[in-house]
Amino acid sequence: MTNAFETHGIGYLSPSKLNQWITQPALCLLNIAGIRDEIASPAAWRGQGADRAAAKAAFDPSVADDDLITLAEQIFADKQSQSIDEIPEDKIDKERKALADYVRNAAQFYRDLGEEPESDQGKVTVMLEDIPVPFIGYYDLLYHDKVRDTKTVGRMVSSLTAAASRQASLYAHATKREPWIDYVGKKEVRAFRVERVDYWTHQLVLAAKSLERVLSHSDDILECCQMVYPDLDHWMWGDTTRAAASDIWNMENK
Amino acid sequence: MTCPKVISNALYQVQSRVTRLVHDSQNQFANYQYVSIDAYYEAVRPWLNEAGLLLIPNEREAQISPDGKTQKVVFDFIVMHKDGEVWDTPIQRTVYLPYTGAQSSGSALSYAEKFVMRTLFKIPTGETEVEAQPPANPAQTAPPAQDADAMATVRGGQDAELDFDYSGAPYRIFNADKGVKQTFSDIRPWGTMLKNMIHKANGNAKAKLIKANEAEIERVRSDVQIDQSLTEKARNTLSASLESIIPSEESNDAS
Repeated sequence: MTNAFETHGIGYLSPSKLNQWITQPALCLLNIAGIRDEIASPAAWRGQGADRAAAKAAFDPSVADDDLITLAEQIFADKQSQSIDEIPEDKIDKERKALADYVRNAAQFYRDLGEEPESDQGKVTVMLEDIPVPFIGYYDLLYHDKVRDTKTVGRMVSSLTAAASRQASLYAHATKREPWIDYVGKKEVRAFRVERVDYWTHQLVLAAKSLERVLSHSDDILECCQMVYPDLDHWMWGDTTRAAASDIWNMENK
Repeated sequence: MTCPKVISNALYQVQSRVTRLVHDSQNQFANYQYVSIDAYYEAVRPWLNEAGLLLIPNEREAQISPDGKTQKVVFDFIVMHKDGEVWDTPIQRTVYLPYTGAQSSGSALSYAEKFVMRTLFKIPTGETEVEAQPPANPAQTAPPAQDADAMATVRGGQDAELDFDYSGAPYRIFNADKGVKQTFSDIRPWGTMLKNMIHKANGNAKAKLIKANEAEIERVRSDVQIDQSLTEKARNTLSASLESIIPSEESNDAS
């Protein structure tokens, strides 16, 4: 018998999808309908560039900062060239200029660990209790006894977020290694070890069951959308998804 | 109601000439045959000319429903003799139809004019009676119709042809049964959702889905090419996205 996930074309779940379901359920359902903001923000381009440079530094500590910054800037430029949205130049410049600081901090942090990773961008696939589809995720760096995820942040955090804990716990559950989240800021890097892996993994299961119940409401994903209501103030909504929400939730008509 | 004798005689003259009209067109979306407005003109105009009769349409009222999905248009058809006599009671027709853009008014007029001719002169066409049609899906229909003409239109009746000759929104996604599943005011969610639907569907369902949406994709493709507000980069990106909605081999299979 086809389960609700498969009915809606969901062959697997990921921590990011479930974190989105928890934070922005309406946006999650729109994504399941295939509607998403394909072009990310300059802050996301900065994050992708810095992450790649950090991984390179982790594998080869001898690579100079300037070379890592060049790599990150290339990735940033590639992402920018794919954008069709009109993004103000000052926003792009702000993130591009900040890139060097993120890369230097991240590179120094991973060099200082004094340990070479076994792999990066590794895929994990696990089945969790009562959920009929697998959970799939990609860790950033796998070490002998740790699995690490790098997150560049515009504003440094003082503690682990629940979303990051759920994500890292899935990697830990799959790899049987200690989960760590490394928050990379412009001025410093803060690393947090994720405790209570079983607790956070169970949160993923509960969130998945909640999503499954809503998807069971109808074979038509647009009908499922009507069970929630969008919060368009949230930063995760972009131009495409905002425009779609206006039509799907009929916001312009009384 | 006073009808000048010259007009009543002319009406009788036309009615006495009437023959059956045959279906000359196929509605590709609702999969039924109908008599086009051109076929009506071709058959009825000689009879009207011979009798010296004129049928003059006048749009009296047009409204769009609060949800933006349905248009209501009220027409008065003035019956006049070529010598200037006018019947003082225009024939009124109210049409409800799915609102699909600026061309909806044209479709409404065609439908109303055909029904006036059909009912005024008792022209047999073999159209399915409203009462013989299955109940409509409440989610896809307009607000309660006020007359049989309107109900026939909303239920996919004689002249519910969909319009593809307009620019911009609404961008429509059709389900495999060729009903409008969702409309968007922005091209981007339309494109990403349609692509997702097609890629998730399998086999025959996928082919039907592609077939149902081909005309709308082509309309949007043409629109993108002539849209002067787009930068070249945006046009190229949108064109590439449109190309990716239907993979080439599936497009061939569906045609």
